[in-house]
Amino acid sequence: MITVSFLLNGKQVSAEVEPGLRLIDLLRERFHLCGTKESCGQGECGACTVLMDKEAVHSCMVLAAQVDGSEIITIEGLAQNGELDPIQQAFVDYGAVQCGFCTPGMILSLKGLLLKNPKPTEEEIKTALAGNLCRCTGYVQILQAAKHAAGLEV
Amino acid sequence: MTIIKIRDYTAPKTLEQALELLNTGDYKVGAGCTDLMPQVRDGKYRDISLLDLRLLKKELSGICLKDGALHIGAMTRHDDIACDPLVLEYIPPLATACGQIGSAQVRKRGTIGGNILNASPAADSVPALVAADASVVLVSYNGTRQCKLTALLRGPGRTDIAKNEIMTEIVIPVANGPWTGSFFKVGPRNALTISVADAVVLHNDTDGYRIACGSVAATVVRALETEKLFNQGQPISKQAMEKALSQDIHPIDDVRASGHYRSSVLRNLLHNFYTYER
Repeated sequence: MITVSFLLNGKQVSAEVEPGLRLIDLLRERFHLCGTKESCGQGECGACTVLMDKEAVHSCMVLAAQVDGSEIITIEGLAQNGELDPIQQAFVDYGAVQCGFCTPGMILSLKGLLLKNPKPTEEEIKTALAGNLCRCTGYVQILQAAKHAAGLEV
Repeated sequence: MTIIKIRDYTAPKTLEQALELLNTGDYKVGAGCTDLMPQVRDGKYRDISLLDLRLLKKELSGICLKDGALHIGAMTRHDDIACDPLVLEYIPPLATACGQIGSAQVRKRGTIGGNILNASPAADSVPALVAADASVVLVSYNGTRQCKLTALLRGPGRTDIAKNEIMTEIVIPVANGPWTGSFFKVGPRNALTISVADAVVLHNDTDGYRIACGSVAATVVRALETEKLFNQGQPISKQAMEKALSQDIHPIDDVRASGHYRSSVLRNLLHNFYTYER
């Protein structure tokens, strides 16, 4: 077993993990943060996206052992003091959520983009979201919400 | 919950430590692990002892210009290569290629060393490196060696790296000046796609044109006859392009595409580039 200590949604935590335990499993099973979803399990759909050291990664492809010393933010960690993050609010306002399964990953990919590049172009938004698949919306409302959150004309 | 079959996990703190471990034990080396994780999950590797290079990131990543060559640390992430000013100046098709690997999330973890050593014929970073005649540096407990990338790559999933070696950097000759050129990738979609054909054209005034094609052979190959045609500097018809290319590549039919499609698409891309974009 390996001991990992890391920041999880702003709180210092630690856990004993098996070598083969994935980050997504650590989050869902041990910390009961089920906002992070598993869909393909092989880094092709983005449903499992979380922020690792402020960058969007596929949590199904990161081992729990690899997060020692890192900062992890899940969808549960975005809203501050009961206030939705502007990206979350934009998703609500633009009807960008249908079944909601892709939504946490979509929002966190966007969060990762805006943390590094607060004024992205539409192309940069699309590139950032290319690793997040949605089977419900057809992406139009998601892109509208993203552009609004990025301060672009929708 | 999926606990993938990894028997044990080690993250050495120094390169020396890593090389010592590799010299005595039986490890699978991982960096970004974006190819390794799905492979372990699918049972390609079972019960491995994973040697994670993540604590060696500072030592093994970074890009600099030295002695007429661009040196890229093997653990440099695709995301960083895609926007690096030196890569964009000296070999822009490599930046384009790395910027199209997987998704933004994959590019934040995946490394150029991993892309090379996974040795898929479709590895996107490889055509630019082969066209530029790049070499790699391999370090072990017993010493250091440098070898041409084309000598390292042996076939799908096979390389010449020894069990106790770690790739530390990729060396790209740029003494004859910056390369210009283009990267082409064709696949079923625009992201998260494995190419059915890809190619890089490079040019500088001393070396002329270099062309390397991926996903059309067991390893990335230089298209030497097509290069000769490009270097003649005359207009090239599609038929002439097809004739030259057919001497250079003989792609197979597989689950992703037919050989005919791969040849046709490369012919068209190269013809377009030569006629309209160079």
